[in-house]
Amino acid sequence: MMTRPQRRPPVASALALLIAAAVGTGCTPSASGSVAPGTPAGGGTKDGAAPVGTQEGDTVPELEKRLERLTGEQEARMADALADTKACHDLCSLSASICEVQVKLCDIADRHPQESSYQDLCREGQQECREAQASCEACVDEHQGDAVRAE
Amino acid sequence: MTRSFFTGERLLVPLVSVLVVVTGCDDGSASSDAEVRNADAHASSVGSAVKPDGTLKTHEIVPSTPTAEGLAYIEAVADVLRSADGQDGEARIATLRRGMALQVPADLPEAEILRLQLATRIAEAQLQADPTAARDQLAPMLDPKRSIPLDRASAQALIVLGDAATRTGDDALAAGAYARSIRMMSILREELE
Repeated sequence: MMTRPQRRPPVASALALLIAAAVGTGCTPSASGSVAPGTPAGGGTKDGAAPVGTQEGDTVPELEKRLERLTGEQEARMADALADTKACHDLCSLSASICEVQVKLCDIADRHPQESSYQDLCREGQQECREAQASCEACVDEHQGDAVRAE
Repeated sequence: MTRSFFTGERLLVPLVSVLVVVTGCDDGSASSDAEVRNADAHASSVGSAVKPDGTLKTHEIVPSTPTAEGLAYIEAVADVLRSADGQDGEARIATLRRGMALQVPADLPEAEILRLQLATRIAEAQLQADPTAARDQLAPMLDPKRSIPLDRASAQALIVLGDAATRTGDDALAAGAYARSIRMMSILREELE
C-alpha cells in the first residue's frame, strides 16, 4: 500500500514560504511586497528602476488574500487537467471500440471478397480506426507534455 | 465492446445443447452453435443477394427540463437496470421488458436513449441462446431509414445488432450495423477533439 508523506496544511506552508522569502531577501519594507506574476524580469532596484506590477503586500490579511487567489487558480488548473484526462480517456475508449468493430466488419468483408460494397465498408472502417488511434495518441502525447511542463 | 455475459448465461448454451442431443432434436434455433453453423450456410447462399446498408441518420438529444414525471421515469428505468444487473437469463430479460413497458412521459427526449439501452441489454441477454430474437429486438429501432440518437448508447446498440446478425447469418445486416456504429463513434470522437 502506498503511503503519502505527511504534509503541512497548504495555508501554513504557503504562509511560511512567503514569510521565509521575504525575510531571506532582507528587503526593506517598501520593497518586500510581492509583485503580481507577469511582472517583467530585471525590474529590480539596482539600476534605479522602480518595480513594475501591483504591490500585493505582505501583511497576514494580504497574504491570506493572495493565498486564496492562488488556491483558486490551482483548483481551476486541476479541473482543467481532469477534464483533459477525461477527454483523452473518452477518445481512446472510442478509438479502441472503433478498431474492435472494424475487425468484425472486415472479417465479414473477407467472406465477400468479390463484393465492393463490403470491401468499401471495410476500408472505411480501417481508415476510421487509424484516425481514431492517431487522435488518441496525440491526446496522450499532449497530456504527457503538459505534465512534464507542469513539473 | 459488447458487454460480457454472466456465468449463468454462458452455462445456458452448453446446457441447451446437451438437452438437444439427448432429445434428438435438430431444431437449429435451440442451440447457438447450430445457429452459427446454419448462419454460415445461409450467408454463403444468400450473402451476395443483399448489399449492406451503412446509411446513418442521427439526431442530437437535447436535455429536457426535468419534470416530476420525467424524473420518476428515469428513476424507474435506473431501478430496472440495477435489478437486471443482479439477475441472469429469463429473469433478467423479464425485468428489462418491464422497463420497456414503462409509460414514457411527454417531453422527455432522453427516454429514447434509455429505451435503446434497455433494448440493447435485452438483446445482449438473448444473443447467445437466441440471436434471432436479439436481432429482432433491435433491428426495427435501428432501421437505416430511421434517425437514431447521436449517443454512445446507439453505437453500442448497433454493435449488438451486428453481433446478432452475424450469428443469424445475415452478413449484409451485420456489416451495415458495424459500419454505422463506426460512423457514429467517429462523429462522437470528432466532437471530443
